[in-house]
Amino acid sequence: MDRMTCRACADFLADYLNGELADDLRISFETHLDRCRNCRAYLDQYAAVIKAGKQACKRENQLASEAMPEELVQAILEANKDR
Amino acid sequence: MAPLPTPQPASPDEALLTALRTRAPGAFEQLVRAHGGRLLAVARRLLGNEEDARDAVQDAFLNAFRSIDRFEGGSLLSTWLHRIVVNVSLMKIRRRKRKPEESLDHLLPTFRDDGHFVDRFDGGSEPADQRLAREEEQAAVRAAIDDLPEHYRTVLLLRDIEGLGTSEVAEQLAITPNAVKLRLHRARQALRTLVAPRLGRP
Ligand SMILES: [Zn+2]
Repeated sequence: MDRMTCRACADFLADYLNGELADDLRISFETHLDRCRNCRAYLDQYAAVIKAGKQACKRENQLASEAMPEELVQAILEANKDR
Repeated sequence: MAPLPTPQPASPDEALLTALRTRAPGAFEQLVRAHGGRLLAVARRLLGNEEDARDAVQDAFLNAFRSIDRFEGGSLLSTWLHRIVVNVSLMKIRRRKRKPEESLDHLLPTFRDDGHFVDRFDGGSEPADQRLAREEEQAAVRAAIDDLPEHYRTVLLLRDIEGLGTSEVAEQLAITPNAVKLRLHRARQALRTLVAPRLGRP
């Protein structure tokens, strides 16, 4: 029997994705998910947004690592000399 | 008898580390050039302005250089520097004048009395994952992170982007691990709401 509401389901998303839900809760969660398209869609969006954020920041790191401002390099070297 | 030390594969880190420890000329500059840009990206995200971010990177390198003899070599040089710039950035955030805690409630999903979502999320023309695989959509998610209230943004950045664990973040921010989990979940939900127009509706 599906006793979990969408509201409860939403509360457990992070723990579920982290594999941290206790077995009985996980079973209720998955049972609800099986029967509720809207919660499945919400879970998919939630996970997709995290993934997209990670990918964007990875790209940002890559670009920044190729573009260390020369004046910052010089400022750091200068500050290190003074000590 | 003590076991023989396991031979470590030679790494570019080791050569640089030796040079740094012996204060070899040019070693510090090499460290700054090799890692500075990456650290700057981290500080920019956490601090949200260029001047503070550059300050943080400078402090991080000076701290690193000062404590290089304490670096055990058990982790990568890049991991160690990353940790230092995160610490320095968080210290700067703590020193800032505290802004009143902004609410996030208007960005959280709402429910009917029977526990169902008010909104519908299904039925989009394309799966969310596929839609957000595009570079410009990912850039929009990235931009939306900056629109989160600061103490939610910080937790989301530390956990999801910088890869710190729940207990580390709890310690850094002097809050409980449960508060970290709750804030992270709320931050992610708010982020989803902010980019919802890009996720498409039928
Ligand atoms: Zn549901």
